[in-house]
Amino acid sequence: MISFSYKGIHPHDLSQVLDQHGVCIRAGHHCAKPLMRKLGINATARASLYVYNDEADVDALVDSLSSADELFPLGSEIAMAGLEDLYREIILDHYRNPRNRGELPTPPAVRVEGFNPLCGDEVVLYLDVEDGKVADVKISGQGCSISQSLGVDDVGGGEGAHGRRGEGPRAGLQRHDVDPRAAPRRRG
Amino acid sequence: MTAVRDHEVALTGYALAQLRDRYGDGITIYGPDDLDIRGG
Repeated sequence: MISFSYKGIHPHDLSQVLDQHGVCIRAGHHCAKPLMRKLGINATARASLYVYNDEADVDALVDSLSSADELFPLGSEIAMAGLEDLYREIILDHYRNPRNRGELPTPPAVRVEGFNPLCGDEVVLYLDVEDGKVADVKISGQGCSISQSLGVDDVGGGEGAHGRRGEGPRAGLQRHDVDPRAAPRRRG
Repeated sequence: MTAVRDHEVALTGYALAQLRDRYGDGITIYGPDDLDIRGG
């Protein structure tokens, strides 16, 4: 059994990439949250080897990690060639352009925390509501690309939360651009 | 079961070596290097 972190890529994102290569690993805190906190991380990737595995499986794991380099380069353009899966496109889009990352002053915004005990994702959501409409929204915390990017556009009117123009001041919550069918698969 | 355990230890050792040789500082592997006490 090998728990590991790879080049700052969140284990959930990493597991999704490896899955495309037929390599199945687990990602999360593996029911060892105190240890994760001690290590200063919130999740690891984990490869489990057993009697049905051989060196070819290990080679596949090692080789497939390099594909994650191409898909999740830190600070450089992502090579989109060869991407066929919509889910991966969504992950990569949120990785490159995290939506609504940040914090809002409280009050007037409301701050709530969410913690997924299965995967270790920690989400802090700030919601500013005026006259029954969402004026602004921000998200912070630690977790995979999808969990740390809130796909809500055109909040607050004017120039939207990430550059799209809304219909006017306090235009409210108008669109959610994450396809629910593409919800990330969680692994324990 | 001894043979199963031996296979698992050998394969884990192979994997650790391959991962470290290929990715060096790019990969952080948690847990002990001693294969006899690495969980499986």
